[in-house]
Amino acid sequence: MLKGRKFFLFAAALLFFVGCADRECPADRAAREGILLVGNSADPESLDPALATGFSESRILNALFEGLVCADTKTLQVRPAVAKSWTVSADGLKYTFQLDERAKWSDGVDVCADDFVFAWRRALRPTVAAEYASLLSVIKNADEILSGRQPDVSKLGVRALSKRVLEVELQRPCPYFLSLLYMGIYFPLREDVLKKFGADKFPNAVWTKPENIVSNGPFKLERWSINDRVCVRANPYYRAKEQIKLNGVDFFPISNLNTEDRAFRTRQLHLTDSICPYRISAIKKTAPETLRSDKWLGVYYYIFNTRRKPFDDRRVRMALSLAIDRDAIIDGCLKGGQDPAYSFVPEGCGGFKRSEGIAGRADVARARKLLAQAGYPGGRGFPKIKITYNVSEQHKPIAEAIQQMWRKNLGIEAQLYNLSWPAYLAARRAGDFDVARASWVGDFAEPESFLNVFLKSSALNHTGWSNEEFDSLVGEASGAATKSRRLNLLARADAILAGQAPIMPIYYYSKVYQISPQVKNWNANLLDYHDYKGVYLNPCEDR
Amino acid sequence: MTPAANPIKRAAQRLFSDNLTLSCAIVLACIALSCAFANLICPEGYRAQDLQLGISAPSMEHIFGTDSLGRDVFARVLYGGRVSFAVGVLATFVAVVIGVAYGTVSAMAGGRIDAFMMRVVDVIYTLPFTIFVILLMVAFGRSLWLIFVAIGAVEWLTMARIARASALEVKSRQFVEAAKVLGQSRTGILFRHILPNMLTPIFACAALTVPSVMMLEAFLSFLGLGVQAPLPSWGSLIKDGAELMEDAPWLLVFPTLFFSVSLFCLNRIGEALSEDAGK
Amino acid sequence: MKYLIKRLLEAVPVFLIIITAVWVMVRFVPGGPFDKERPVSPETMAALNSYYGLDKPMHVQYLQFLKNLAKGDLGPSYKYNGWSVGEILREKAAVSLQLGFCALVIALFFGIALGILSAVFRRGVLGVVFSAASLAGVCLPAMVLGPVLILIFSLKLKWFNSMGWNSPADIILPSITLSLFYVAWISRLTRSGIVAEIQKPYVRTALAKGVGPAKIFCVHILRNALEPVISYLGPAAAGLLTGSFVVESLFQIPGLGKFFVSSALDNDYTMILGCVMLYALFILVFNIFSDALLALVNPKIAKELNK
Repeated sequence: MLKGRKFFLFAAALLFFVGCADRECPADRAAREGILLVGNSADPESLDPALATGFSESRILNALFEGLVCADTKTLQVRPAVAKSWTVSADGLKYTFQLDERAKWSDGVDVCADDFVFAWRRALRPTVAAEYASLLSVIKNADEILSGRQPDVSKLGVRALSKRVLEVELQRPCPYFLSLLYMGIYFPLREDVLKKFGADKFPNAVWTKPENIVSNGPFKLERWSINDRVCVRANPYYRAKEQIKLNGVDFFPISNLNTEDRAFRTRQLHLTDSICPYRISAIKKTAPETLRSDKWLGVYYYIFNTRRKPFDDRRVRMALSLAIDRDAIIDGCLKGGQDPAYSFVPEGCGGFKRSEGIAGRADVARARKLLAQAGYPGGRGFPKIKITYNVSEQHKPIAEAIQQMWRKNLGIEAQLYNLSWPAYLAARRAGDFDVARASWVGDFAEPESFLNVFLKSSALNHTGWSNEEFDSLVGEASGAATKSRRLNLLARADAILAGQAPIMPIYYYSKVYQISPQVKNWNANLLDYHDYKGVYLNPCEDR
Repeated sequence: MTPAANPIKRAAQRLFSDNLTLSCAIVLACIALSCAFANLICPEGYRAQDLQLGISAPSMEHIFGTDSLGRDVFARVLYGGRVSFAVGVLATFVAVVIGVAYGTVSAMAGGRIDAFMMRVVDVIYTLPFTIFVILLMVAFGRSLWLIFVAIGAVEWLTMARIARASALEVKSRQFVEAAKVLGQSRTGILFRHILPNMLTPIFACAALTVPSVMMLEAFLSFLGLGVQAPLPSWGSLIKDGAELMEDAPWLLVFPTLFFSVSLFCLNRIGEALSEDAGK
Repeated sequence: MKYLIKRLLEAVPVFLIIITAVWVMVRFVPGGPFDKERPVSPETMAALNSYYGLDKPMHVQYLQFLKNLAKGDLGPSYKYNGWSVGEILREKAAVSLQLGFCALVIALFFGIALGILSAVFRRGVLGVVFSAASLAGVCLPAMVLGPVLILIFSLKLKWFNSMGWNSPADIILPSITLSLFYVAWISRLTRSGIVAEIQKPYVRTALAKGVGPAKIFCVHILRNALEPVISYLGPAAAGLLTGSFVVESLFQIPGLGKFFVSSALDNDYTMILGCVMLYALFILVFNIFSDALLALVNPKIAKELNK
């Protein structure tokens, strides 16, 4: 009776494990060992700093690599990293970086200026197909190389003056150049390692496997198992070892919010990536100290297809935007204390202050009037429109709420149209939508990171809308003499965007997540940027 | 007439012959009827929201409580049942039409054509249906109709095998031989003798296909590929409810209750019918 | 033996037809594998396409694909940069095989037990109870059972971890959740098999000859009644061993199931084909396996198959 025996074994095993129920939970053991357990919403699609694009990747890359500078995790002020100091020429076009002689790769080799030159040139090679390469375009000749007009990558405005001196020449003055330098695409890479795995000219990321990778950050990659975890452990050669108190970080790609929540509650994670909105009120009652809501540099909005009737009429777009109650959406569907959005650029982004006179709340009466002026009094004669969004837990309730508000307030019938991610992107790009969900998270904490999206030349602008004054204001700002003048010009551009309403901003992002009291010094900032310096775990702290 | 020509009567007899199956049939009829008349029972519809109210526990006003957007769960369960039953029945219909046509043709043709056609079924059997259905949904956009067709297109295989087997069996019976000798045409034999005698096993198989289609719809809802919101289906209600099960158990309990009870009844009836067909 | 070889040879064209059909199908899905929210320049897209050989004419791509396949190379994953499909599937298959095997054992044990019990007690309260228990699996979706089990055993009783694949105990809740559906099917097949068998004349003859009912049941009835279960083992094993998206997502298990869904949603062409081939392979292998088992149990079938 084989089956019977197997069952017996199985039952015995079950009892054995049940007997061990009071074992040390994973979070406590990890805290004792100095390993931070982090929920990371998705698997990294690539750990090549030039090719990685998402948030889940950048969290890991910040642990593995280090750029010329880093940022203060509280204020986002630029701090020295691999570059211990730098000078800027009077015209703001030439930067000279002095590298830290302690900077070493995880195999003990020195980090030198040539590693940066190689990495930046590589990222711009068209054959490498780095999707974020355009972030390098402030450097001299970068655009020419990227587009293939200049096949000689050595023409790029970056040179190693000596082993530890790097000189960068910009195409045009860029007031926020240093803030770009802690992004993944600016990290140094080892030419010999990448060459060995055929990655110096192609998007081949075999070199990023744990057994192959050489990195210069506080940690080195120990394990990468898809759909399971990515483990990084302390890099013994790291430059500023004294600032790193963790022995390692484990990243778990948990896409299901409820699974992540349960993992946190069974103490298998120290830190979650996100939280299911409907759990928030329960957590506020049972464990309020674990709940965090940090302002995050992102905006959730709907775009109108202005090539189509009736969205070619500004009054219609404005009416639709005025008719939704953003506070009700936040309280009903998000519950994380997000801020309602009436214009595109978040306040406080690089000192940005939005201009006065942008509508600050829902105004149904005005919305009805505008709709009537546009020729659809009470929604009569308004075509049946479609709201296109992609499959995701949080988009559906928002779309349902907006659908209802338009119906109730304006008499407009909208149909929800939910697509898989590639199909949704394809629809947006082809302009095959009426109204579509969209969101934008700033790459760097400056208003340009937002406003550039709606330039006429921007490939991200799927609305079909463009405005010469807007474009010229943004252009003028990049050459502005003072910071306040620049911000002023950008605020005017932002006001034009709000007034023309090719988009309907809904809310500004907040990063809402759970964190164990065992985690210390996990600071909040607008970019959700973490370099793990100073973060430590206190195993004695009880939840 | 040929023997056992009235399968509906026979099925009915079978249903009423044991208490469990009978009570299943009654319960199922109640659920199906209340879903069918959802618009009379809940005239305010499935999408009327009350954002201020939000989630609320069952009360006199909302006997099943309300969901996160303040919608009445009772109404959504009834309307969701409509969708789930519609998907179940229509997709099964698609499966029956394709499967029976295919299986019967294969059986009638016999020989090499039969072997080839059944080989094709075997080939399709080896396709993982999840990928197949998702690709169909992604490729052709998402509409309720497509869900019927996509699921039906997956479920017809078993039907084809059963139809073929029973067609072969009926074909070999004496009265078919007799009809042949009497010089009836092939189509005549097919429609007058063979198809009517296949109805019992097909009925039984269909009764078991409906619940498995409903389960498949629930799976698609789990992936977010079910019916378009705000239209509910039991699958999407259960999915949303499972996310909130600790804080608002009524959002999970009521849809699951309706879903599981309906599936249980359908399965029970299907089993009773197939036991009968096996005799 | 001759039969096994014949089956294997037959499988090859089947295999080719499947992959060709799917290969063609995936290319009609809107959107490409490299689409991101931030659109890339046409030059970058062209570079990506040429790196992965997607810029060549369809027939060249197809021939290249077949050539690589013959070498056992499934190609690189388009989504996970630096990983090959073969590498990912091998790693995940190890997990899914363990979980699936455990679930299969549970499904067989409880399925057959419930099937026998509900066949023996066909009427009365017990009959209702057993048939209800055996039907639970086809009525209760895994997305309900899984969270309920976690709620009870992980969050309230704290017996198990709620997620992950670290300790041997982590296999218990997911394998129960996974097996439930198959318990129902197997018990249904067992029961109808027994019910059909009991009514056959040989049972009455044996009884009349004075053979003990227990012996008749165990040796004859069960053996014959389990034949449908054995032939169902092929598809069941393939289904269980390729994992389940729902169970893996609820318990955060690094198995194969995720890729059967995400590859199709992400247009990861090579991964889709890899999953399809793996599944087809499992089905073919386990069907042959269950046929062989059937032949062992019933020599008559063996003779027929070898014809």
